[in-house]
Amino acid sequence: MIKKILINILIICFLISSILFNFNKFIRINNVLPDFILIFTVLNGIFFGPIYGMIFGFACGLSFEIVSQFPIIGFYALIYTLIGYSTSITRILYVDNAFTATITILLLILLKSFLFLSLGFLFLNIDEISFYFKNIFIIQTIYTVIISIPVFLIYKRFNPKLRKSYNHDV
Amino acid sequence: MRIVKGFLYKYKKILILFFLIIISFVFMFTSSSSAVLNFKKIGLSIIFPFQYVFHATGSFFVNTFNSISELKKSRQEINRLRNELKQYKQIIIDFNELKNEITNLNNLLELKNEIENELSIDSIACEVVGRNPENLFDVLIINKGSKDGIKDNMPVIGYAGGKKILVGKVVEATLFASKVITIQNPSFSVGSIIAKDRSHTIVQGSKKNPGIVKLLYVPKNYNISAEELNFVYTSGDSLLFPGGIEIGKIVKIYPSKKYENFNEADVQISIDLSKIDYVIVLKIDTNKEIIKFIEGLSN
Repeated sequence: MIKKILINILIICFLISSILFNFNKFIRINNVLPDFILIFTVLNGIFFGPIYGMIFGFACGLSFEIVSQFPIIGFYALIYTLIGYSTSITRILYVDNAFTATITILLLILLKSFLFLSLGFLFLNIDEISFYFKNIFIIQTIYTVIISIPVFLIYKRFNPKLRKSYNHDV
Repeated sequence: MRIVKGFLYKYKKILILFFLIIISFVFMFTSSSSAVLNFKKIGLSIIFPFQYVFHATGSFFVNTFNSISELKKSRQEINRLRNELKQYKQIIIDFNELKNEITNLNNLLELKNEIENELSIDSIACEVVGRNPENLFDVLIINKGSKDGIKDNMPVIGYAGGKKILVGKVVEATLFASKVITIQNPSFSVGSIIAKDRSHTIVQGSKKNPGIVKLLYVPKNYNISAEELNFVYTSGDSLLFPGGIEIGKIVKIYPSKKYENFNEADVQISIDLSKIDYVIVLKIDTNKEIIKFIEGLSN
């Protein structure tokens, strides 16, 4: 359990640093990065269960907001928590290969944009929302979907047993 | 206690979700001064995405249909502009043509005045209306004939680079048009003089190379110099051609096959006979008998 927590803390640290620090310029396309937090939240949800996904998403979102000096603490934490919870759809959509994982991630990206829109209307100004949808959304969606395939395969390679146990739990 | 535990275990996922949501909201409301719990705003925030999606979808279709009609209009506009551009191009071509013609006519007028002042010879400007289709350099048809006072054997000159250049002579004057043989024609010959040493020579037409005529009786000691004085002019000895009209420039000297004491030379004609549009006919009243006599002498 401690090992699992440590690994996840390391993943979170890696994610936050990769998102915020300058070395990510090599992987930016048109100044847009893939949504790594979403990918890992969804994969955690798929492989270890929605509770795990929720907690991971919450922790990641919160860390991101704290480190990046985002004006509203809890905004992304809430979005990624809900995304983590939404990985429950894998009860219906059996995710066992890269294709279904990609479909799940695509659906959850759409959910994220919906949440961003509704929560953004409450807490952000309209310019930030329109900037996201005009300049980031499409590129980030495509980029995230593409990146999610190798990440899923890596996850699957390292966690075959856990995936199996999760399926039995469900 | 067991019931509570069972409830917690059964709904742990939902409970954790609610717990995290509450924490998130607490954070949001405490961290942002702009975030005030306003139920109207919350209601709107739930409706807003749907409104946004409907609006975006509606706009998409409206814009698509508008784009189609715009595309049609743009295509019509492009076609109209293409036609206009074509017309403007034609206008530019016509304008350039007109400009060239005006320049030519000005030059011709200048030349005509010069001839009349310097040589005191009456002259008439003519347009070249036809050529020998087999050899553009050989024969020209001009638009003036005996009605305008043109007679056989009248000399014809042109204008190039500010100088008057010998073109040929009239060989057949009809009522409205005349036939001119150029200096390139093998049957044409004229007495000439080399500018450098005033040697009297004869220029004879040749079909060997376009733009090149033969110069006969070139002195053996004559060499082509680099000082640009190798020009050949009409000598003025003939009754037909006045002296001092430029013919061309000597480009090559070679030994004569007929006469041991003389060389022959190639002369590059100073005017491009294939591009000549206007000429001037010098109205020199030539006496046919005298011409016959001279021809008899030369033969």
